[in-house]
Amino acid sequence: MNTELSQEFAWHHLICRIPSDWEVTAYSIESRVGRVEFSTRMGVMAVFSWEPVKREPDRESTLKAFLRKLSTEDGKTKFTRRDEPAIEIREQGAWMLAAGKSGPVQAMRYQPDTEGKRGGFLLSWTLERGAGVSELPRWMLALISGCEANEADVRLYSIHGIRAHLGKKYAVEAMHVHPANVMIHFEASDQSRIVYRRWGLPFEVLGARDMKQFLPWLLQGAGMRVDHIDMKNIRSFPGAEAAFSMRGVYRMDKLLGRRWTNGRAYIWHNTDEKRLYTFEAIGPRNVKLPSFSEACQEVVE
Amino acid sequence: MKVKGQKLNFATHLHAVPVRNRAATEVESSDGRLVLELALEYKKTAKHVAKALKARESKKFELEGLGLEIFQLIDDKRTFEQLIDAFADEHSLLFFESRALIMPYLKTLVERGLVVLAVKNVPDEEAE
Repeated sequence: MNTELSQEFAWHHLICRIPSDWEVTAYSIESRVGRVEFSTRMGVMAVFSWEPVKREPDRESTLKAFLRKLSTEDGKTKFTRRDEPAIEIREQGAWMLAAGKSGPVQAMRYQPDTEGKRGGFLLSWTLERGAGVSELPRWMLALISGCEANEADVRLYSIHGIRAHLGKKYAVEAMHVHPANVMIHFEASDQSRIVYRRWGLPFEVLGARDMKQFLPWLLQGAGMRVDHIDMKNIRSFPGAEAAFSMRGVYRMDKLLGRRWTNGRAYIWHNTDEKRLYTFEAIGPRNVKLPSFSEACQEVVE
Repeated sequence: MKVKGQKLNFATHLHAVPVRNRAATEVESSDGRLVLELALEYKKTAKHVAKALKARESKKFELEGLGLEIFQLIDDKRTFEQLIDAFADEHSLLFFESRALIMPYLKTLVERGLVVLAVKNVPDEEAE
């Protein structure tokens, strides 16, 4: 396994750096409760999960109970209360880690809810340290200590190669992950919607079309009408920018069939990565949408 | 798929070697297109019925695009894992992306009888 933490990962409640060869192989989109699973060709390497709790739990006993449960589940390691003194418990910043002599390492953190509600979230990592490794690997400690809360007014979502910077009013509405084809759809309470897409094998995706033909085709397929499109360089890569509209789908707009005309879509071909990206934003009249430069910020090393 | 009644684990899948069916002959080859022909074999009663009905004796398969690219990567030596890596390197894909793209093509090639998977069972311990 590559232990260099060179890959950014940001999802509900968490921003961190993970090994470069980890790939997300399972995910939840709900911010209330869920998990994300990371794998390499060697198997599942880590699971990050979050769940609501009414108050800060006794993390030490929760961690020990978890390890006990895990040992009975895998059927190999036998872990009883008598073994508890052999479990190393250590604080790593806001996190508490628990590790036996072998098997997975468990880390937990309590994060108060910033929305003003009572209680908070219990964040936990289950990390595989690999067969025959008895000590806590350095990369694992670095990963845990590098974890930051993702509860600011502007939140970062960095998953499957898509990097979104959006206000906290935006929630993940849908996410579709196909081989080298990812789409994340965010929606706000004011009904404005933002869609990010990323494809591999751009020559297969585009076929005989150029981006000026492909983007209208894509938007029309989603019920939009392209009013104007221009080829332009985006992030110094070839791309196109389009203005589009759609029939309103909210309250009086829906009733009267009023169109939302503030749609903006961008497509660009990152020739370095051999990936095709799009960003689409639209919302009701008088709703301020995030600009492309705000919502698609590049990684600053 | 099973080997001596055992289910294949993930590591066994990765260590399997896709092998081209040598009975499939190249009929036509041009830029970005390959036509293969495979003789059909009728067994027992079907053989006589096929002869009486003058059923076709061979079947042609046309490969192009990614299907052709994957078929050309199969050299009877590379394991499935090496095939995934080669495809991922070529197209700047991640391991699981490449695997998920190759799998259906390879499955189709196996179903059509153009490729078989030579499997060496890898024990679970080694897989871990």
